Parts: sequence; structure tokens; C-alpha cells
Amino acid sequence: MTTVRRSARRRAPKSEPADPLAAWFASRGWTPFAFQREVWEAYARGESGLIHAATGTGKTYAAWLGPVAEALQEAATHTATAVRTTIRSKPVNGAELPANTRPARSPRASVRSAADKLRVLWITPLRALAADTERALLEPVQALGLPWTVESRTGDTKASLRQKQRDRLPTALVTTPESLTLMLCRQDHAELFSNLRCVVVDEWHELLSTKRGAQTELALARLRAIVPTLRTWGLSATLGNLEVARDTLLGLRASSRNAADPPAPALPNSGRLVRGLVPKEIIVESLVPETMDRFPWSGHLNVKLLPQVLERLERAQSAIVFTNTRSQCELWFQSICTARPDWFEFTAIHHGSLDFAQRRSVEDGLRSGRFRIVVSTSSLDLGVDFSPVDVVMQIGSPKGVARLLQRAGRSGHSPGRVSRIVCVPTNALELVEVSAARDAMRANAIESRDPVDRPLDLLVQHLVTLALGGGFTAAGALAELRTTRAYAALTREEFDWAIDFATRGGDTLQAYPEYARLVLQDDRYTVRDAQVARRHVLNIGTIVSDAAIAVRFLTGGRIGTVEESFIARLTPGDVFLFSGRALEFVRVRDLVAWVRKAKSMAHAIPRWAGARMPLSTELAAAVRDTLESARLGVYNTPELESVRPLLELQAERSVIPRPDELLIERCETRDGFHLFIYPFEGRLVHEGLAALFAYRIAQLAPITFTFACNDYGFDLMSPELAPLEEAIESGLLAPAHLLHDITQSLNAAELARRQFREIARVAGLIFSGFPGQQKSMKQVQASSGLLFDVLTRFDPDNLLLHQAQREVLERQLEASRIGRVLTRLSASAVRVIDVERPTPLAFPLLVDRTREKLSTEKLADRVRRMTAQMEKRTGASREVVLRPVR
Amino acid sequence: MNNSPTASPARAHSDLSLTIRDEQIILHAERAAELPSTRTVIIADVHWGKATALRAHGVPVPAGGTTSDLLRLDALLHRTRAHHLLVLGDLAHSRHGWEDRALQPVQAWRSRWPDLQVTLVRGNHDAHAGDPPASLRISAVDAPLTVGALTFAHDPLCVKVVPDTECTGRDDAPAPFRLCGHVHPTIKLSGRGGDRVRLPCFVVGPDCLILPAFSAFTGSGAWTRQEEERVFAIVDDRVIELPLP
Repeated sequence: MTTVRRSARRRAPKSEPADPLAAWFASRGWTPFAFQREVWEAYARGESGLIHAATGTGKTYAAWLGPVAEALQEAATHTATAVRTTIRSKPVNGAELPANTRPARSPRASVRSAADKLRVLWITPLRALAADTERALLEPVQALGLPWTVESRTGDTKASLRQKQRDRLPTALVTTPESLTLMLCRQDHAELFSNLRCVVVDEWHELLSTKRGAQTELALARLRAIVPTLRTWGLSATLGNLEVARDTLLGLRASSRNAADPPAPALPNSGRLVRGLVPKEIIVESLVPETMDRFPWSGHLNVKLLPQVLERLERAQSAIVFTNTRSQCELWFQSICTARPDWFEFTAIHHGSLDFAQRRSVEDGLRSGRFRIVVSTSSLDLGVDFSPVDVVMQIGSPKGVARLLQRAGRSGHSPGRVSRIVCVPTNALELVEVSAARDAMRANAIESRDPVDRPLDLLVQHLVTLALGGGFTAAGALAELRTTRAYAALTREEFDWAIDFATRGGDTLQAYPEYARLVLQDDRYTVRDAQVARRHVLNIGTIVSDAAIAVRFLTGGRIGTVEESFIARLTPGDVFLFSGRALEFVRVRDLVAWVRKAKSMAHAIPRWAGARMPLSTELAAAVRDTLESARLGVYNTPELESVRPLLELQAERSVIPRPDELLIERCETRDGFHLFIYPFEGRLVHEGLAALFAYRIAQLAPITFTFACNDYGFDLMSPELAPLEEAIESGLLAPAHLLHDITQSLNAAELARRQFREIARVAGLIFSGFPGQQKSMKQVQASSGLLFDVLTRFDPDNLLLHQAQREVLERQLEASRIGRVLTRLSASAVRVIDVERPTPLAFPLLVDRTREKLSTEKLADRVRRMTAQMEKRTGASREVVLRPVR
Repeated sequence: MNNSPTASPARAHSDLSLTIRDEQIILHAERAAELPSTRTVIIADVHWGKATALRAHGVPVPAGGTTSDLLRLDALLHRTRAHHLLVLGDLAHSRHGWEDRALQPVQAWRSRWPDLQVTLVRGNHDAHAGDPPASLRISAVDAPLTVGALTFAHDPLCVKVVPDTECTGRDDAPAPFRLCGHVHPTIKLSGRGGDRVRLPCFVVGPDCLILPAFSAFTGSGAWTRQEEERVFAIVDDRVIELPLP
């Protein structure tokens, strides 16, 4: 935490509100940092902004103590003229507000003074962080004698407290974007927030490039419409695009410019960018295998380096072992405890699926010293100033420079001390990645995160929120939406479509009055149906993930939650690791997966969906540079030296490609013909390129491809030899017609159909049911795939379909990046090498079981080939009865 | 297998004929079976008004599914010149299927086939949805319905139609042959190059034929094939028998 004893550089002016704060800091033996003072002063002047620094460097108090100081000063003034509070109880006059925000007057409002109404909202992306935040915020408030209440309100909040908060919110509330949106659904929300001074958005970098970030933007726009003088402060890790992050958080100025259609670009609200503590020195080490002989070429679930990990942990007073996936997390926890049963009592596991109470006890235990070793996923990446630990380990590649910095920052917190992270590769190529990540870190190549652009599914959801929260007019809502960066470019046409969709379900549903979420009356859209309201409220949280299934013991006792998609792949009797225990799956009923303790410890490991993190652009570029150095024979880091035999084998069987050439390896295996193509651009780009290349080759002759992608390249597999040379001749790598070809290819590969799952859920097309009522709702459930097919056939202009396509293009596949990559590749020499055996680079792709498909063959031809193969497999072909009739 | 010399070149659709218990049964790519001896077309799991039911619960599904299913039925009735249509359960998805709006395309279809006899063997959805309105002139009966050597039901595991040889003590007597729906069977195929497809199918066991769902707007379960079963998959406009895996 902030424990520097250095004295403040400049003396604060006498009137400065930060004085009592300095006294409090002094009482703790601290001195405020210059950046903290900068924020307090800016806050006092009414400014907003974004503070960026590594976690645990005092950002929390930089943002929090501004409003605290303001209250202290007000209290000092008000004791003299106590009456004034009641006069100032309505800072915003109803007439100035857009019609839709007029507060519904609750009889109690006039009785309560403005001073004890909600003043500060603290938004945190993880509800697991809320309790810690609450505690951290409360400390100075109590010490400084402010009569404030600080509470949190999240999905974890007890019903009794929530009920209490329904009548009366605390002075400062810690909450999540979802819970805030739920509060906006209340008819009297304008009254609730009328005394709000400040919103702090914690870990903004986590939200920024997600739909939850856009949801936060929408909520902030609503709050600014209620309180135009609202100050917004964001806390963020360091990003490559901090200005964008700040502007997105602060929103755009409401003006006549954004009333035009199409809207003219509006100016961002002004705000400052405050840089926190300068990063301390970070040392990145690796555990390297002694020999490459037995070290796997692919996969991320091996514990070969366990002995070396144990050796490091042995000496540690406290340690966090970070993993990239929950399966990795469970596996390492299990392995450590099996190898060292004597460590069991002070070793713990922490990931986002575990029950709240368990996560809390682990966090507390880490702080108090009860737990010396915690194996964790990114669930411990974030968080209010955790006590630092001695040793931070990273299992697998960090996959990005920012994540490496963030995790390393968990060790050696005190300023001036060195942060150290020990990377533990789980396959050979990760050694290359770690080496590359260290180089990228030294070059300060930190990733950017791009905000999302007008997701229409979220817009539909938000319109229902506005309708529930007292209703809205079309003009008022559009103007407010356009003050967010996410919807600044929203066209009138799109907006009208979204309104139409929420009122009638879109053009095709005009004749169906039974379908209506919004009702229009006297220019105002509202919700009249109570069932619509209930459904909406339950759907709001669904942006985060698919339906969460609670895991419970048959004998009672809740263990945590898992995704529906994971449970769907289990059959009764299957054993899986969860929460460090081997559990036998019994059955699933009413959104609860019932389990019992497994009799034997099986090797079953949960295979979570979407568990693979893609390599960032920055790290991908660093990997290309690192491989080039290996190609030139420069093995200048321990990691590279260790992976040398493998890279030499690659050079022997094929080549290590130069940065200015594209390597394509061709080989035939039992499964079919492979084209292994290596652009080294990260998995997201490869998914797009694979679909694009498959599409372009398949235009030359009917062929069926399945493809697998990883961070280095992709494998196009086909039952027959693909006409590669011909395809290269006819422009396989050409950037021309990119948008057309890629749109076609992603439809052909059904990538949009897959993306539609999330969109359908957010827009309320899929509903997982009311708690305890699932069975009776079953007849009105439809799978997103089926909905996608029906919409494609009978409502092809539905904008949600277009959105699915756009999301795949822009977010999943990063279309603009694909364009840049193609430009780079088309200037490269293509090197096609026929290999006899899969190379070290090809092997991970070869064994990848998750494959996409793209085909230009007739279904009948494919089925004929498959049945012919079936007959060949079974030997003698069975007599087939196919007698044409009549 | 696909170019049998006796194939009639004039037919757009390739149908497939089986002889079961001396009765000819033709499998049609329109997801239907036919008994030529009685000029009966058999379909199962029609789920009329499913989209309407979803809309009523706030899920914006476009219309058109039922109409498109009915056009497929029209084509088949023309081709087979059927006198009877037998529906093996789940005619309406829910009671919303009998509301005016959902009923309109169905009424229009009925008026195109005034002389067609339509019989519904009730299924689990029909129990909730209720019988079709009288105006449709559809007679509804409880499962099982037995005609000659064949028994018709919705659920293949319906207790009343699964023979209980222990109780009757007549294990020498052949079990009645059942034609059923309910499970919406599909079959997964895979082949070289990682190719995979999933096709609606007919499943023929020793004493049971399960029809694919007639409605295109239905989910389905992948059928796990048993040793003694034959599987007939629908590939676009053809029905083909799949070799044993």
C-alpha cells in the first residue's frame, strides 16, 4: 500500500481540502503521493479523469479521498448553517431534465436531508472485490469521523440488506455494472441518485473493451442526465490507449451536434489523465526443463515442472501461483497437495466459479497468513491492495504484456522493491513466448483495449431498462445514448429498429400484438406487463456469461457455480475436479448440478469452454522477433536456450520462417490432407484468416475444410488435396475484396451463428427461466442456433443477425487487423514445404480437437464420401436396401 | 447405391421402400412415412404455433415456420395422392397453436385439402395444448392406435405399447410393430478431413419405426444407434440407408 515516508514535495495551500487527509495519512505513518494530491485537488475543482498505475499503488485512496475531503469541508461549513442542507436538497430542478428523467417523488424524500443520501457510487467489475473495497473505503471514513455509511450491493448481497437498501441507500455504495443497471430499472431512480457527487469506476481496463463496459457507459450517461455536475473518476492499469480509455469513461458532451442524423462527432467531456507511481523494476524469470526430451510440444495441462515449482514454494513465506484457466488451476492445486500433503492446510485454491464465502476465506487467509500458497486464476488479478506476496508464479504463458506486468505487481509491493515473477511453461513453445514477453515488456509494448461499438443487443436491453425506469421519449433517449462513446455514431435508423424490435420484435412481427415488451403512450415508451419486467431484470446479469449452474452436494452444501455449457458435456457418473475436490456428477435439475464426492480420484479435468487466452498483437510481434533471433542462431535467453533442440528440429524437418516470409507446410496424415500455415499473429486473427483462406481455396473447386487455430498459425484439413498453388496464383493472400470474402467465409463457416448465442441472450431472445420455474418454461425455450436459422430464413434483415456478423468481423476476427496482416503477408515470399512428418510447430495444431468447418461441396457428396468410408472401415459392405418405388 | 438401375429418372424425390410385417412402408425425404396400401401419409412432431408460443413469452421469433412446413406437406400430399394423414403426436406446440393468428395458415391449408382425413394420435404436447378446434376436422385419439399389424403412438416408450411379455406369457407371439415420433432423431456422420454432418433420420428397430420431427423448427437429439437398428437419413431431397458404423 502507500507506505512511502518521503515528504510531500510541495506544501499544500491553506485552503486545500486535502489537509485532514494528510493528517490521517500521517497517523498511519504515510505521506500522500504527488499523484494522490493531484487527484484530490482536481476533484475539488470539479474535474473528472482517469488514474492509471499498477494495482496496489494507492489508486483507491487517490479516487476515494476527494469526495471524503469534500464532505469534511461541507460538514465544517454546515455546522454553522445547518438549515441549508434542506434548501439544497434538490440540486437539479426537474424542469431542466429531459422529460424521461423527471423523478417520481417519494413522500420520504422531502423528509430526508440531502446530506445523507447516496453521494458516491463505486463500480467494480468483480463482485468478489466489493467486500474488500467496502472495507478499504470505510477505514478513512471512520478514522476521520464522517457520519457516512458504506455498503455494497451486488449479486452476493444478502436479501435482507438488499431489502433495507430498497428503502434507503448508503452514503457510498460499492456495486457492479449489472446491479447499477438494475437500480436504473426503478421508477424512482432519478430521485435515488439526485444527490450523487461522484462515480468511481474501478479496474476500468477490465470493463473497457467489453459489453459490460458499454453497459457502464450507458449507466453513466443516465446518471449524468440526472446530475449534470457529476464527476467521474476511473482507475485503470496501464494501457496502450489511455486517452481513449479516459474519453470512453467520461462520455461525450451533450450538444445539438449529436441530435443531427447521422450524428456529427461530439467533443469528449474534458478530464485529466493522472499517472500513478512509476512502475518499479520487474524481473521475469522462468523455470526451464532440464531436458527437452520429455517436455510436451503442446497442451497446457502438464505438471512436468512441479518439482521445481515446489522448490520455489518451499522457501516462500507467501505465494500466489497464477494460472490461465480454471482447469489448470484445479490441476496445479491438486498436484501440489498430492506432492506435499503436509502443505495442505496452508494451501488454497481461488477462482471465479467458487462459492463467494470460500473465495472470501481464501483472500482473508492470504492476508492473515493462514494460507501461504494460493493457486488462482485471474480472479486474484484484480483487487484492492492485497498484501504483497514473496513469490508470484505464472503457470503457462502470460499471453500478454499487460497481464505479465499486472501479475508481477503482486510481489514486492513496497515502492523501491523489485517485483519478480517466475514463469512456468507448460509446453515447449511457451518458452519462446515467455522470452518474447520479457523483450516486449522492456520495449514497453503494452496492449491497447478498444471500446465496443454500438452493440445493438445491449441497446435493446437498455431501452427496456429505460422504459421500466419511468419511461422515455424517443428523442430524449437518442440524445442521451449519443453522449456515450459506444453509441455516439448510432444512426436514427438503427435506433428506430431497436425501438421497433423491443415493441414489436421487428418488421416481421408487426402483425403480432401478443409480442410486446415496450408500450407507446403519449410519446413515452413504458413497460406495462409485469412478466416482461421480471424477465428483463433476470436477464440483465447475462452479459457476463452463459447461465450459471450451481454446484451442490446431494447431502447439502453449495460449492460454487459452473457454466451450463460445461455441465452439458457431462454424463452422470463422470468425475471432475472442482474446488480442489474430485466430484461425481449425479444429475442436473432446476439450474443445480448435484454432485457427490467421487470414490476414486479420476483424471477427469473440467474442460471449460473458451478457456484459451489468445496471444496479444504486441506479444505476437515479439514472438516473431524472438524466432528470427533463433533462426539466426542467437539463443540469448535461458528460455530460448532450453527450447533450442525443438527449434533445431523445426529447422531440420522444415524451416523457421523469416519475418518476411509465410511458411506453409503440407502433409498427409491418417485424418486427411493438411495445410499448416504460420502467420504468427495470434489466435483471433488466425481464426479469420483460416476461414478466409478456406473460403478462397474452396472457390476454385468444391471442397470441405475443417480448421484449427492457435497463436502461431492454423491447420486447414481436407479429405482431398487442396489446390494450394492454384489458390496462391489467383490471389489467396490479396487484400483485395477482403470485406466481401471474409463476410462470405464467416457465414460459410457458421462463425456468426456461434456468435449469435451471446447476442440472443443479451437482447432477451433466450431466457434461462425464472428461478425454480424452469420446467414450466421449457416449452418456450429455443436454442440460439435454431433461432439463428429461423431468423436467417424468415427475417434476414434482422439487425441482430447483422450484429452477430459485425461482432465476429470486428471483435472476434479483428477485420482491420486481418487487412493489415494480409498486406504484410502479400508482400512476403510464400514458402511451401512438403513435410513427411508434422513439425514441432504443426504438432499442437494437429492434436487440436476443436475445429471449425467450411464447405463448398454438396451435402449429398459429403454424405456419400462419409458413408463410403464407413463401409470401408467395416470391411464387407452390408447389403444396402434402396429400392425405388412406383 | 445411389444409381440403382431401376431408379425412376422422372422422380425429383428419391423415396425408399421397406417391407415390414408384410406391409409396405415408404420413407419420404419430406420427413414423412407412407402406407401405400391404405394411402396414408404419416408425420410426427408437427409443433404448429411454436413461434407464436415463443412470441407470447416475449421471444421475438419471426413467423413463417409453420407455413413453410405446410408447403412441404402440400408437396407430399400431391405426390402421394393420400387419402389419410396420420399425425403421431405433438400437432400443436402449446395452446397458442390454436389461437387465431397461429391457426390462420393451418385453416388455409385445411381448405386446400377438403377431402383429406386427418387423425391425431395424441402426444405429450397435445395434452397441454388441447385437441384441435372442430373447424379443422381432425379426429384425435389416445395412443396407442392399432391398425392391422401396426400400432401407432407418440412416445416409443409409452407403457401401453411396449409389450410386456412377462405378464402376458406370450413371448412367442410377435410384438406389435410400432410407428412413433417424440424423440426427433438425428444422426451424426463423420469422415476424413474432420468433416461432420448431422441429418434428420428414420430409425427402424426390430419392432419400432421412429419418424423424424416433421417441423423444421425443432431441436433434436443425436441418435445413439443400437446394433440391430437400421438408420435412414434424409439428405436434402433423398432418403438413404446408412451402413453400419
